[in-house]
Amino acid sequence: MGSAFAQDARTTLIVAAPRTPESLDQEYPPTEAVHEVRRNVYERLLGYAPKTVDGIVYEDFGKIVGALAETWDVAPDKKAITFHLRKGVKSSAGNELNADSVMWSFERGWNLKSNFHWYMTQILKIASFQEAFSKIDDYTVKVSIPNSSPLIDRLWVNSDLGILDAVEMKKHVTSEDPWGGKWLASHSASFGPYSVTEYSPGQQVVYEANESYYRGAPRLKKIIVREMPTSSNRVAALQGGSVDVAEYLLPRELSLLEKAPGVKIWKVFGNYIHRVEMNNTTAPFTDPKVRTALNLLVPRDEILKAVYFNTARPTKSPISEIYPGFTDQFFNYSLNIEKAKQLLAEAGLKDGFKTELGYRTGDQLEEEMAVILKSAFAKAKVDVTLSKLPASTLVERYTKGEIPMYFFRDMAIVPDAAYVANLWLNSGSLIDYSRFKSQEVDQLINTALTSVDEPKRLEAMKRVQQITVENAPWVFLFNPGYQLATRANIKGYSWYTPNGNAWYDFVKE
Amino acid sequence: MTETSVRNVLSQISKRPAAIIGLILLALQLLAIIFAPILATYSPVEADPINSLQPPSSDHWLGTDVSGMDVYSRIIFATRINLLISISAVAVAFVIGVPLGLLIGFYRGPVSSLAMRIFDFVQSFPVFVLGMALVSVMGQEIWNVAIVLAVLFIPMFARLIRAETLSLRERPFISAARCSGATDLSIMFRHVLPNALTPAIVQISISIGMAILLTAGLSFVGAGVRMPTPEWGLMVSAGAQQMILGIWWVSLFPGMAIVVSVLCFALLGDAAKDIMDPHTRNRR
Amino acid sequence: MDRIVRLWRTMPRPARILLARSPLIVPQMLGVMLVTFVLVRLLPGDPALLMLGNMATPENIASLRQRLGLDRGIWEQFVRYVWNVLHGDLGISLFTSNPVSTDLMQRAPATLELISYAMILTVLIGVSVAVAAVVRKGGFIDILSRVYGLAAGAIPDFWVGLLLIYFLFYLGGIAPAPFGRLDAFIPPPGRITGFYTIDGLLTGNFAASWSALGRLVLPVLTLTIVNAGALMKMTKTTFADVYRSEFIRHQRASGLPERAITRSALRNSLPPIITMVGFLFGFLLGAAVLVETIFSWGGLGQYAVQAVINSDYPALQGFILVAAAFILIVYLVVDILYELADPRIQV
Repeated sequence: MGSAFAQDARTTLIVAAPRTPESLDQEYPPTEAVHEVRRNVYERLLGYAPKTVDGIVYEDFGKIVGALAETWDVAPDKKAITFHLRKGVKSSAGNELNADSVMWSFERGWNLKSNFHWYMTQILKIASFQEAFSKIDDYTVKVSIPNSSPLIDRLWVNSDLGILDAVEMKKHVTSEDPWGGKWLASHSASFGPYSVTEYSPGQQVVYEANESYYRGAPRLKKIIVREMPTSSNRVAALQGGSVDVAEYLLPRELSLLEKAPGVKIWKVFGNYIHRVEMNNTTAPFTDPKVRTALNLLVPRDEILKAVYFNTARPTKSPISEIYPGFTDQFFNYSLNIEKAKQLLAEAGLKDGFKTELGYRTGDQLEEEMAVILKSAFAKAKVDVTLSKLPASTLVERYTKGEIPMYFFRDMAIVPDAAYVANLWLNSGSLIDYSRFKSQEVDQLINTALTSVDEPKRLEAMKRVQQITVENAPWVFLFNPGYQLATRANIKGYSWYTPNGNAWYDFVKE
Repeated sequence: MTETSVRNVLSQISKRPAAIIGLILLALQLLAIIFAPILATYSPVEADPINSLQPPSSDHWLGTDVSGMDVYSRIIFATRINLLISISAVAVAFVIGVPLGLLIGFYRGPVSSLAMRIFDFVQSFPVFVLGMALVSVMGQEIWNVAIVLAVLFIPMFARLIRAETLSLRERPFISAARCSGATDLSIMFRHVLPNALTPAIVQISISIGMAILLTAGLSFVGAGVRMPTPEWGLMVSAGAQQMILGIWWVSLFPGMAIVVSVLCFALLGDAAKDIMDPHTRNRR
Repeated sequence: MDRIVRLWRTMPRPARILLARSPLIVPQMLGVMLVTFVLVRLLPGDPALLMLGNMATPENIASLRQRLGLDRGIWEQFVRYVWNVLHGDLGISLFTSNPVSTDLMQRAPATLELISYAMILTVLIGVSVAVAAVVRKGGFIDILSRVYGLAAGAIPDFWVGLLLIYFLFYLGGIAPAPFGRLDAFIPPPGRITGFYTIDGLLTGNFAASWSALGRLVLPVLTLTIVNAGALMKMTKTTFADVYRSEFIRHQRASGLPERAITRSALRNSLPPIITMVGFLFGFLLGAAVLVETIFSWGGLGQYAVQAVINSDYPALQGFILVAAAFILIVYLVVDILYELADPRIQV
């Protein structure tokens, strides 16, 4: 009894997370908790080669390797990709991977008009399912796209494009629910290293190892992820040893834990960019002088020390600093109240103006920063009313353009500067909430998305960064990085662009 | 009513130490309200992140919170906000609830029963969730919080007055007034109301205390006033996360302020009850 | 008509009380549903937009809204809602993807366990202190009760909870960690009642019972400290009135021992005490929202707070409906018990 318990303890990992995933369905909109499920449960066709830096495993964005696809061929005109599936890959239910599963997964994604559909239509510009997706034989699938795309291969690394175990799924479809949406919301059917054996939303989710996983059975057999919404509770649980991993802690708490015995903090630069976006079509933010003035009022050093405890880095570009194409050469905003006042005076706002800043309920960091920014902006007579709003209200208001300033923390999971710029800076993008519009930027991005000339793309993105930094559609704040606190006997930490932890890489000593 | 002349009231108060304490606390709060800018040592809304979470010291008497704002100064300024919200909420509830109670107590019948059922129903809603939802809809303004509280308190005053009215309307002096040809309205307002008011007036003080607690509670769950408004409940909430990590001053002191304030109104309410109730008035 | 009246008079009194009082619940519940529905619909925030985030396109938004049932007219949505509720379907939570009724049933025992223990402790302390204070007027307990009553009415319960965490957990190290109902390594006992303390005993999982009991200490104390004071004050007034009444004086004059007199006075104060306990139950449900948030209890209160934060309409509606229904039923039961207990009330 004793040794069995000890054995169990060593292969079981207990995690404290801020929330359990809202759904296990791959077509559910991607949230942080959902990204983590997909990282552990679903397997994709391709991946990036791993590289280890300072004991942490990263993805090498320059090198794509096969995952469920053993090999793949990209047509020279980059208008087609053929996947040769790995043989003998077994799902948690024991079914073998073949082209039927892949085609069924594609069909499901296409018909549910959610994540898969978005990628296929927005990035690869696919218009017709029949023309794009075809099964060549039992282990070969081909995807053809109308225009060449530089992302034709690396897009398939995305965790939202996992392959489902169609044999298992088909047991749970009904005539009203032909894609098994109801079942997949609370179960998993996949070829990944884990399957979900217990799902109690709001309480916990339990993963168990897929012993027949093609890369080898996971070392951790059972992962219990408990929902503990309050970060300080997660801290106390970790310190007390009742959990092995505490996710999403505040910088203050992390700095406290660094000194605690038996605890280790893993830190990576990550790809989050946290900024205050301004509605560029609402006065006075229509004037770039006003926007740059606000950037000159931010006490970045103070915030870095007092709010982030030196774990973040100032944002110097709208592109993440770890992605190819990033440059910080155009960023030169530092605290300069006099210059800010001068710019405001030039914009006709010598006596300042009133405005509103929205932030999410429950986000302590945003609230701390909001209070600091309010005081900072007041120095140039900019009177900011702080509005704490439930997430969906905030999202609705900035989507409709009804709130002048709001916090926005986001990351793009495809490590490509044009992809990132296209999301947030292309005036045609639906998530360019700040409504930034520059014809030159639009043109540069659109060309870069279809061009396959790498040096030319990089030049274009450099220019995009210059224009956007100088025009300051956002108040550039910080890249918070990603940190994970674990007990000292947990090793093997890895980081992937969607930021969900991959339990397969972890081991408990 | 004639027995409660000013001199009489003063002598009653002097015999009750609880009442004296209550008045002193009230005076302290009034001082905090009027002289806040002088009594405070820092601005209540200016963030100073470098000095966040400092324990009490000679510089910051009660320490600083997570944004570096001085706890003591914020407590002083918060007196204005907390009392403003509570007193206006109770005032509105009183002004609406009393006549309402009078009417439904006087005119018994289906409308009166309906009103009672509506009150039951308002009071059966889970208070905090209702408050959160309402403030979400209306926005985090001080006035909205006061309105939400007023809505919750109206049934209380109405019920009180109704109970008194029900028993008073059977009394001989009312029948006498009716015989002498007085109209319903004049009976209600000139004869019934003055006699029914006593418990309601006592209730005012207690309600202000309850309102302070409710405002603090609403702010605690994030449904009260917006940051960085100095308000006691919001301050306790801001420090709640740090309690478990051993940082005690951010929540302790505003909580004490709440206790002192509510205690003050409770003492005053008790004293008012003692004084106005002829049974207990001269018992000491 | 005459026959009905005669029939009415011949029915046993308890039956008459039940029949007269119960039907009122129906219109009240309908009213609750209407108000809840309107209120929640007024809540700003489009959950579809929130959920889609980066993936938002007009197509996706429309398709998600349709999936969530948000695209139909308001009246139609309401009628469907009432129809569903009457069939036990409270909708599907936008954020847990579970039926709301399942969510509520999963979390209800957590809240009920907390409130029940708090109720028991509150009544025990409140009533006994009140009775002792009245019986030995002017004594130590009386003075203590006056101070306690005054203090308890002024202390915010969320503050008490935080102080208990700080002193008993952080400083003293004697209380178990203030998050959740069980220690992380102990699996929950098999579900019979949903009360971990009871289920643990029933299934032989004593470790679970013990851990659950330990975790209950701080939140139950938090709720009790404030509410026992309130109950005590109200009980004191009622009990004092009865204790000093004519018939008690008569009993004493007739030579009845003090113990018997106290018991008799208590029995006669029961009706108003029952009413107060009923109100207290309803009040505790509201107070549980705050306490559950502080202690990460995972009950209905926390669910409600998350629902408001996430604009999760169905969950919020479901919670308010169930909470209001619960409170209305408690009031009804209390009303009925009151009338049963007091023979002077005519029906």
